[in-house]
Amino acid sequence: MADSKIAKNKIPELIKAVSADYTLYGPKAEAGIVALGRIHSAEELMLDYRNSTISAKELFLPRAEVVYEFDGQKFVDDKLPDEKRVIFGIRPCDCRALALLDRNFDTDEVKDPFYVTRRQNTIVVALGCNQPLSSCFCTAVGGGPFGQEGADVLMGDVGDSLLAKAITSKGKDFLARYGKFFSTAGSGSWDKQAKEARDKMSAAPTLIKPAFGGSELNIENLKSHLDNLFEDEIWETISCKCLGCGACSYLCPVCYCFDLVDEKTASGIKKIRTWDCCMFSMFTHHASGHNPRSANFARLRQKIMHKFNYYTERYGVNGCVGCGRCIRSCPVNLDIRQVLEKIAAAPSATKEK
Amino acid sequence: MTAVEEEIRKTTADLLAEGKADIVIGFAAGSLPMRATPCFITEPEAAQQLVWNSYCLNNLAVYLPGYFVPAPSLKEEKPAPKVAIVVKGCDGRSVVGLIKERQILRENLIIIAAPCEGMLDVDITQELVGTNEIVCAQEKNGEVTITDEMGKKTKFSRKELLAESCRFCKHRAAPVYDIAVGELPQSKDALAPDNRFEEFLKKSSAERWEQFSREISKCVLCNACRSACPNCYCKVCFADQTRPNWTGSGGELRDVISYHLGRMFHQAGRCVDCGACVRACSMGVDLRTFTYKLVEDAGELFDYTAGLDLEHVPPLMDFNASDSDSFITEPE
Repeated sequence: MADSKIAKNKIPELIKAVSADYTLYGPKAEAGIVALGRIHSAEELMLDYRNSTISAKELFLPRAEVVYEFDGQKFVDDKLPDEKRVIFGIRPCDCRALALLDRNFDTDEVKDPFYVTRRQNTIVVALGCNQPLSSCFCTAVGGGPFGQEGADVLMGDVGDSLLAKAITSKGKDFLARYGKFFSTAGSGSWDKQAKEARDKMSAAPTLIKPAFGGSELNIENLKSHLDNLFEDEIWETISCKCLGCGACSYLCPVCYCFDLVDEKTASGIKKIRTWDCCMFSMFTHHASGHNPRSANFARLRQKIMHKFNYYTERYGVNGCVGCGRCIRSCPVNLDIRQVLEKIAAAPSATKEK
Repeated sequence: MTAVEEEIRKTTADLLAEGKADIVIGFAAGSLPMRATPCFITEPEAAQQLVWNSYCLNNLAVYLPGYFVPAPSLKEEKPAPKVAIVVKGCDGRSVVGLIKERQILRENLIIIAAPCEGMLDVDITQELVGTNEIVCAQEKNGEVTITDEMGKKTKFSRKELLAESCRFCKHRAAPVYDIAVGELPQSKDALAPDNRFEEFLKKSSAERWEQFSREISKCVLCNACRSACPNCYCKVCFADQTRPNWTGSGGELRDVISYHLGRMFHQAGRCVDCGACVRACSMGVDLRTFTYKLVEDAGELFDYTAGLDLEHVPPLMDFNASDSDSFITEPE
């Protein structure tokens, strides 16, 4: 049951009020690419989008960011990002991706100051997914079109209004602060939309399910299965057509691997953190010249292992939210659902021996 | 199944069965509507997976150099495999380019030329269909019926859905081949005038630079364009080199520009305008306008079109005292 609802014709006013207090981000289309960009007015906001081409990852882990700058004498400008932000209308898969990133960047041992500060300074207002795409598979990896993990507020589109429900205390404060735009009377429920979206996903001829005997992808089984497949020849077969480009990783909302590079300035250096990608041949290239993952199959194996084995082992959850971006963006139609299906169908290497 | 598809399956199965080929590179059905996917076959029975339809867009030549360059970890020299490859005009021209640049061995290749009337682009089609997802496409007599997820059917003429590079393609048949399946197209005419490119040519160099910078600023440096390009076979790409570091970390527009300028100029007289880079780009960067300018320049300044024959020496592999240098001495 939702806490409150806002009529769609009230959204411009809400956007205006929120923009006065926060830097607002939301889905918007520019030259055919939908991204979570800066929203200045409600006209820019595209709430009937399917999913964004680019995920929200960039708002928390920028593609290139100065970690520190040294001018030859002293460190300069080492402020943390202080922008107070609201992301309005992000999809539940991308919210869940944030929850997965939290497990890596905000732990008891390590707190990435840039990431953690951005997370703390951001209110995530999610919008349930009424119309998942055929390449979406969030339900197979533990999420759902109306999943609330990682969100502060979850909204549902029920036609002429959006229903809203606070998930965290931050979300509760948000709804209270902008309470005048919301009505609490007879707010209703998005159960119908959520059920339809789920039904749509299970009715679609998904590629993953048959491999697991008709049930949803069993992540525990997949993890232990992968334990035995490291040396298997299956990786060479699967990786045949992979071009080793970084499109999948760059669009993935969970892939977070980064590189640190020094860039020279007039009198000193800038240390810059950039996105990296395990599919790149230079990813594990050692200073000695040796590369432990010199072949493409070893790199694709790393990608799958990291998401469905190592992540599961470390954090108890796999590193994929089923947003389907890698499927849609792959230039050679290397479909991760088919990869998982092949892995599931592969006879376990240890059993064979 | 079409007659061409049947012939491809039979031909490749025979090649594998007779030991004439160790591996066949072709297309199999894709996992998404209006997509085919590269397919690698080593057993004759597996030839049944091969398809030939309007979605065989990828330039398969990109996979060839890998078969002739031993992986660094392989200490023993294995004899190079015999590779059969199914090609359209563009893949076929790339194969010729790679042979000339000595990246692949002609004698180890079996080039199977298949007919191409231009491939259809799912992204262009989706844009025409709107927000409802395409579920399937059926083609009949130059007309394509698209069914969307709501069950709505829309008819398009085939020409409307062509990939951009196919729309302007003048070489739809592979120029060099060993086996031809079906009837190879003879026409040398593009299917449509390239208005956008004509517009670009009319611009001043300052306006072109503005267009280039604006377009390139969308790039996220995932390098998919490079990976999809058959010409980008360098063992270590200049963009990956660290000593010296030719391009920056990507934080500035100049970093993106230096990567693309570097990559594009290496394409002069080599690019076959297959469009693989454009389709690989998930950010929708229009790389073609700029790479096609190089195609035109190579033709105009050096009288050279990439990949049409095995004899003519490509401009980047040759030097003559009479070579055009007006682009240096008299820049616009």
